[in-house]
Amino acid sequence: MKIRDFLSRMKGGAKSPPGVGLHEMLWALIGSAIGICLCEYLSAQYFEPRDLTLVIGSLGASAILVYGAVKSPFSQPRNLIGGHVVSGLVGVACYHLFGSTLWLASGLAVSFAMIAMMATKTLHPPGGATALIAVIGGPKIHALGYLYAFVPAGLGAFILVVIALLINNLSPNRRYPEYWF
Amino acid sequence: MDEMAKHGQISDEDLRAALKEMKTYMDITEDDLKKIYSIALRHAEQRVSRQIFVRDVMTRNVIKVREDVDINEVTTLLSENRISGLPVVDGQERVIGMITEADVLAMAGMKKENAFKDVIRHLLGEPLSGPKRSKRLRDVMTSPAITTGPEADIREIALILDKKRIKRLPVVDEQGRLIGVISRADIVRAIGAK
Repeated sequence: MKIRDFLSRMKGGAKSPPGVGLHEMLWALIGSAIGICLCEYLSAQYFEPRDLTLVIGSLGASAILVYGAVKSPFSQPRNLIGGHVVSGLVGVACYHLFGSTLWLASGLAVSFAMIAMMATKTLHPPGGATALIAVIGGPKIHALGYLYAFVPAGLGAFILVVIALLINNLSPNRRYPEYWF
Repeated sequence: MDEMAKHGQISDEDLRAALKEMKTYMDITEDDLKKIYSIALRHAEQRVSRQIFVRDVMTRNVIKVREDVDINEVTTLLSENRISGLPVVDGQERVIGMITEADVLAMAGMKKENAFKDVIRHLLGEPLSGPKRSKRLRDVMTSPAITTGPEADIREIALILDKKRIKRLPVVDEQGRLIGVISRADIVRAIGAK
């Protein structure tokens, strides 16, 4: 590859997509607020007293996708739930295998989680965070072991999907999901 | 601009307007959308240029029989025209079935699944088990017939012929009236000529 060609690719050239209207913003606001509030409420009420949790940082990222980019393949149930569970499993496995060297475990958790999501057609960007949190999430997360992939990761994603089904479909311009699996 | 629209071309403004009309956030740039559209258009053009319509290659003067003819007449038609099957039509020319050599053999005492050696055995005078002795065409023919329309692509027909292990399909108009027959030979000829 010629260096000029290489550099010219960095110029981009496509236009950024158009923004969205107020109406769309309103529905995104309602959906994400209810989704995350519900997760945190359930977590504080029922899960934390039992040394569990229902909220991890990556669910915040998932909320952006599922309530803000409803049509994206990243936002569909298969990707949302599958992506979190797959990444959670990979993250915990990486912590178990390489946990003595946290910087190595972190990098491998994210990259292997990505490959695993690609291979299972469940690519969901917040999954990268889910895998990373499995490694750097501290003793409380580590104590969960492989359960982490299902609670909080899988169950949290599931709750976001349920709220998305209820809220996104109330908007006249939205339909959720585009596909299930 | 109108020139572009006429040739199936889309302008940047069209794409931008389309993206806006989706109302919700679309995870794609105009540029990619345009690329996808033009690739899809190229595929569509290729598909259309490769298409061969049934109406262009079918046999139009079809040898056919009415449902009420004698079965011997069918046998004569088949052998004289050296064909292995005929469409059967009612009084309004509507296709109601197909009659083939295999059907005639079945009637003459062969079950369709009988092998050639059974035919020989039969000719030597041995009786066959459970023969179909009916003489009426409508009891012997295969009915209803699988039909096609004149606007179908011969590749679809080829798939049907292969899957159903048959050699021809009657071509019918919207009212179900016979207008031709598309056979394996017609398809082979059409592809050879292309």
